[in-house]
Amino acid sequence: MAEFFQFVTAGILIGGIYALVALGFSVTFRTTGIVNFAQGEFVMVGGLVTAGLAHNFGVPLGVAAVIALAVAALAGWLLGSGLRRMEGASEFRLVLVTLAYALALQAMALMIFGPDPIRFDSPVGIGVLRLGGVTVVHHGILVVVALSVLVLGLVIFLRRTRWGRAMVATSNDREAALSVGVNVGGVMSWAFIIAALLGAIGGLLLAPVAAISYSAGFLMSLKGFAAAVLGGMANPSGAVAAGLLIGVIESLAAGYISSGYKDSIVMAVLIAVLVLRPGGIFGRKVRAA
Amino acid sequence: MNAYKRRPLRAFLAAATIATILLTAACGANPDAGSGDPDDDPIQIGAVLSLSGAVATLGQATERGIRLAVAEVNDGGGIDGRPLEVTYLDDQSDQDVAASSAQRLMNRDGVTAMIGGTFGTTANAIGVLAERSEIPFVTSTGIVVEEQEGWEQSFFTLANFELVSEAMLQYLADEGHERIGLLRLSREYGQIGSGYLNELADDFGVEIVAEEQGTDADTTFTTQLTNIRAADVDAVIVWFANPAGATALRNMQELGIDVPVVVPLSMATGSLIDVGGPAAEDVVVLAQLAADEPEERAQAFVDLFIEEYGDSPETFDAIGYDLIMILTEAMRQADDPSDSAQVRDALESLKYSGAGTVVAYGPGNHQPAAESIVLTRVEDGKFVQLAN
Repeated sequence: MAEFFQFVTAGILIGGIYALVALGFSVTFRTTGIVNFAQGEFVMVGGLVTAGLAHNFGVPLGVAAVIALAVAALAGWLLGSGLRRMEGASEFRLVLVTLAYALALQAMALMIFGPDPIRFDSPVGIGVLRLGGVTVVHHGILVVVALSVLVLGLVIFLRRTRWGRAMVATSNDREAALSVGVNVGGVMSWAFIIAALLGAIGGLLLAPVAAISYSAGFLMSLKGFAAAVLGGMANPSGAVAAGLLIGVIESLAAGYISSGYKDSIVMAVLIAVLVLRPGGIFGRKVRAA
Repeated sequence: MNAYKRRPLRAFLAAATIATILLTAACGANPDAGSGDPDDDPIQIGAVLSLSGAVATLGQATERGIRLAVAEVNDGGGIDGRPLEVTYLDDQSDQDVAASSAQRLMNRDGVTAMIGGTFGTTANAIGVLAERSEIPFVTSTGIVVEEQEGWEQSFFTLANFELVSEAMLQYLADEGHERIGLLRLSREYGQIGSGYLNELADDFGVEIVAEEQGTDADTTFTTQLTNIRAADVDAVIVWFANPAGATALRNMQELGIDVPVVVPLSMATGSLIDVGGPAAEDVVVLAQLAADEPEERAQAFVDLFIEEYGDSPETFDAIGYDLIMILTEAMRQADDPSDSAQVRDALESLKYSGAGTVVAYGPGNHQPAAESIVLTRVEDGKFVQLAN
């Protein structure tokens, strides 16, 4: 039984980071209808800029993290602004733009920080908690706390702030929002900035676990996208739950079935869900979008 | 009548004048073709390396070593007065790009010899083309597929799977370990390694009691290591590449798995220390260079490297340096150092003991010698030679 809890604990740690990426996918998709394949790159930007500034340029870690978040927010805003100008373009072209943006960010990161993966120590150190036979790394607890705070913060932002409410309005009915004077373009920028920040915080949490290099974003996009789809794409709470679930399924599959087949198993689950429940496991209805 | 007769002559004269001008121009454009001195021509070498993509760390290290060696050779007057000129192409860790880059260097640029091939897959792609074009290829990898053993043009500098597996198992057996856990990459590199380790384990009286897999992109190996721990192992082989391998070491420390760890050449890079941190301490690393306490044959290279780049070299820096030095030796033995066939023949009887590799090539044997492998241990974040 200790084994089982160990597998689940390991799954939650990485699942928490998938959840943040999935949440980012969900926020932009919900408000703009765009699947942003550069989402995982924000994780890379958050983690690598922090680690790179601290490691290569001797910037204090806290300052580096703040700069990284600002860089990510700027990168998100730029992408959002570009996409705003493509009003009416086909989804295919929009997705292509996000993919091109992802590659551009990767290439830039390679030029600035080089190919070596870099990491930094977690602010909570490298300590562990031993509960019976189960090892819980302190950093894992930080991931869960950070995820909870961010989800709560996002809910408050959407419900209580002007921009948040405008975002909700736009995602519910774009035309109606426009007609009552919501700045839909501004909402789009906000959505991308928030998604970028969520990804970048994911990167801050990932770097102490596994070193980050310029190419780390793609896999995060893939896993985060899988989680977003599993959670019902436009459903943020579904995305978070599905992110955690993918992490746990991965871990259990590796632990009990085969570590070699773990990725196949996760993808098989994804395909099964897409076939059987196109609206995601938490989706109540199938959305046309 | 007269006018008629003169016309062909005038036409001939005009044609002759034009032909003369064209010929002169042609010679002017390419002085080497006519009166130039071929003895000063640079000798062209093509390098295809993974400078970006998955194994960029290894490719960039190799490039540093190559540049150091080229500068050394050329500063010393080149080969019979002819400098080396290396054209570097990045294959982005992709075998198709490697193939098209090699094609370009060999067929269009007409290089005398090829170097590079940062990992098995790209080296294989370049090797196939080198065979066809009959251009010698000194690669920074080891043999991956059996068919490479029969290749005439490819020369290897990195110990192959069998040598590495034997060295690991020998070490574990000598230390009295019997129950070995194996955490390995699921891709080809780990698969072949696993094949050899499982096949040879019996010969050394050890047993692989638990085997788990992971990928380069995995961020945690806690689950796999929990299973390995449950198998009651007394030593673990982590057959990975960095940074994932170094992450696995950190996970081992977190889980409190406190048994000796042995890792292969692919993990003998700086990121083992950078990423592994304290978890990398005491890990036994198979390398081809103990940079912080080098063997005699590598000392000069290490000094030169530190002087040039300011930090200590890794195995792949040393191998890069050796690629050029091996070629240089062979070219010096050839009558015409820019003749591919002569260079290849010289390579086939070459004996060389260098910074990162020891070779004694012969017909049918294009692999480095077993003494290329150096057992190192991480001590205070440095790779030091393991006391025998």
